[in-house]
Amino acid sequence: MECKATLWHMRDRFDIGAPAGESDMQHLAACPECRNRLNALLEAESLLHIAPDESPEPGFADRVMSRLALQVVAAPAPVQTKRTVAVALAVVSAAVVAVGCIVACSTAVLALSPGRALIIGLPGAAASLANLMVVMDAIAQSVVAAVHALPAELLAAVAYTLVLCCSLAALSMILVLVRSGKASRAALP
Amino acid sequence: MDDNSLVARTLAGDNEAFASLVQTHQNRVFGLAYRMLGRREDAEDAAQETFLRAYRQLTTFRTERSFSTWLLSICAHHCVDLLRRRKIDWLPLEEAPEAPALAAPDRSPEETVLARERSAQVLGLLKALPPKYRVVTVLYYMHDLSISEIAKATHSSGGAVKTQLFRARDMLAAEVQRTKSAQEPRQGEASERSALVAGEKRLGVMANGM
Repeated sequence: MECKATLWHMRDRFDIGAPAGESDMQHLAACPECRNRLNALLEAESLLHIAPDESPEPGFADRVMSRLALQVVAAPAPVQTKRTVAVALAVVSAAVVAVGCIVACSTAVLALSPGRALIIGLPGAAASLANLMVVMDAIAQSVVAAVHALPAELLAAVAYTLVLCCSLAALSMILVLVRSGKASRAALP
Repeated sequence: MDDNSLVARTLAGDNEAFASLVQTHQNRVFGLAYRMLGRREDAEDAAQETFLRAYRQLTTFRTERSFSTWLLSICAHHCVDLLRRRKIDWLPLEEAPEAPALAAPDRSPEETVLARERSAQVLGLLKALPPKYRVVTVLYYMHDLSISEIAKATHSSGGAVKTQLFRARDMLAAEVQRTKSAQEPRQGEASERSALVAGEKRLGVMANGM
C-alpha cells in the first residue's frame, strides 16, 4: 500500500469519527515515515485549534463607522446603480451605431446610384430596411443639394468615418460595461 | 436583536444597527484577516474594508444565509486578492509586534507569553501555505466552517475545497517536520555547548580542589 494514500485515508476516517482500519494501523506500526507524518499533522491541527483568539484594537467599530460617514454612503446599493447606468449607456451607444450605419448605407447608395425609387416587393424586414435606406437617400440627397460644392463620394467617406467613430464609442462603452460587471461580481461574496 | 433584524434596520437607514453588527462580528473578521495577512495593521485595514463592502452590498445579502459566513466570505476574497496582487508581504516573525489584544486583563503574564508563542507558531505554519489553501485552512480549523460552507464562501465546489484541504494538510505536516528538523541541530549544538561548559566547570572545580 502506498504510504501517503494510507496516511490521508486515515485522516479522512478520523474526520468522520470512524476508527482507523486494521490494515491502516498495521501499516502505521511498520512505517516510521507515515507515523512521523501523521504526528506532524496532528500537531499542526492541534496548534490551529488552540490558537488564541485575535481581536482588533479598541474602538474598531467607531473607526469603521467614521470611514462609512466619510464615504457618504447614503443607501447601501451603489453597485446596482452603476450597472444600470452602464447598461443604459451601452444601449444608447448601440442605437447611435445603428443609426450611423443606416445613414452611411443610404449615403453610399446615394453616391453610387442616386435617384432610386422606393423598393417594393422585398419581404418583411428587408423591405422595411431597404425603404428606410431609400428615405435616408432622399434626406442625404437634400443635404447634398444644400452643399453643392461637395461630391457624394466625399459625403460617403464622411459617413463612414462617422460610423467608425460611433463604433469605437460603442466598443469602449461595452468594455466599460463588461469591466463593471466583472468588478461587481468580484465584489460580491 | 439577531443579525437579520439588524440588517433590516440598517437597510431602513439605521446606522446604529450596522455599528452593532460590526461589534458583534469584528473579532471573527479581524481574526481571519490577521491569519491571512500576518500583520495587525494590514488585518485592521482589511477588516475595515470588509465591513465597508458589506455595508455597500447589504442589499445582496440573503437572509437565509448566515451573516457571519457572508462577512467571512467578503473578508476571505479581499485578503486573497490583496495577497495575489502582492500588495502585502508577510512580516518576518522576528519583526512581528506584540499583539496588545493577547495581553488581556484576565490572562496571567505566563498565559500571555504562551498565547503570543502559539500565535507566532500558527502564523509560521500558515505562512507555508499559498493564499487559496490558507483561506480554506483558516475557515475549516479556526472558524469551524463545514466543507459546504467554505465552498459557498469561496465560490468553489465541495470537491475543490476537499482537494485544497488535503494539499494544505500535507504542506502543514511537512512544515511541522521541517521546523522540527531545523530546531534539532540547534538543540543538539546547545546541549553540546552546555555539556562542554559543564565539563570545563567540573575541570575547574577539580583544579581548584587540587
